[in-house]
Amino acid sequence: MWENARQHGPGTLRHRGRKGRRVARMDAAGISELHARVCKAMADPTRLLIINELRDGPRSVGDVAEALGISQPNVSRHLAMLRDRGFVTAERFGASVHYGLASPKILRAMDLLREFMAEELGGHAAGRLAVAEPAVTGQ
Amino acid sequence: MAGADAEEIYELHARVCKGIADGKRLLIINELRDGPRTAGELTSALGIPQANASQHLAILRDRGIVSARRSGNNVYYSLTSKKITEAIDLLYEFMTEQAENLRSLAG
Repeated sequence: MWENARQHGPGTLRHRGRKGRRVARMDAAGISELHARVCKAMADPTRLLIINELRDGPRSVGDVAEALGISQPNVSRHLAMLRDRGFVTAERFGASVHYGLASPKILRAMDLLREFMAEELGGHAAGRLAVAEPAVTGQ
Repeated sequence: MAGADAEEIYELHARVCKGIADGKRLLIINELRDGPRTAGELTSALGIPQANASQHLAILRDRGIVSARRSGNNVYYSLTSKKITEAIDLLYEFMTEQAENLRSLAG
């Protein structure tokens, strides 16, 4: 089921696991957990914006709220969810708490989905969004 | 990063994410890694009703994640891009690493 794993280049972490058993095997239980915990967390535009905002390093709730033009309580609520799912970690710097991404894999996965979407828009779905550039941010 | 266009991009992005944010659809995508399958083959491989498989396949097609090709009497479904499975793999690795971290913290 997971043969494709071997076709990935040596650049993926798959090949250098801490315990030498990195090759992920997805079983039904793993998949439903992936669904419930990880994919759902990413299936929200505001959370995607927040993740994108943390791309360059940890930020405070206030920074994120200001950058995105979203209310602070709203940002806090989404960050709490992302923290609960392990997407972000919180660190205290003096009086403020900074939130950062827990793993570069989150960003890479988000960018891959974004690239896929841009290709889709460039292809047969081009008419659906004529005005928007298929922007791949952070490149 | 401002403007309606950016927001619309994120809406669409979320739509792609929602496309994969379902247990059954993740199973179907996983099954299609090995090559094109008919709805019937997916049904028997995954033990889900054909009507249900067709419904999920329709959503995956709508999001452009899966394409359909007719061959004789059969319709074969396949993944349109490796990027989707790469993203799913990364998220799965992220999840399993987290689980390991939690275990090492607990133990």
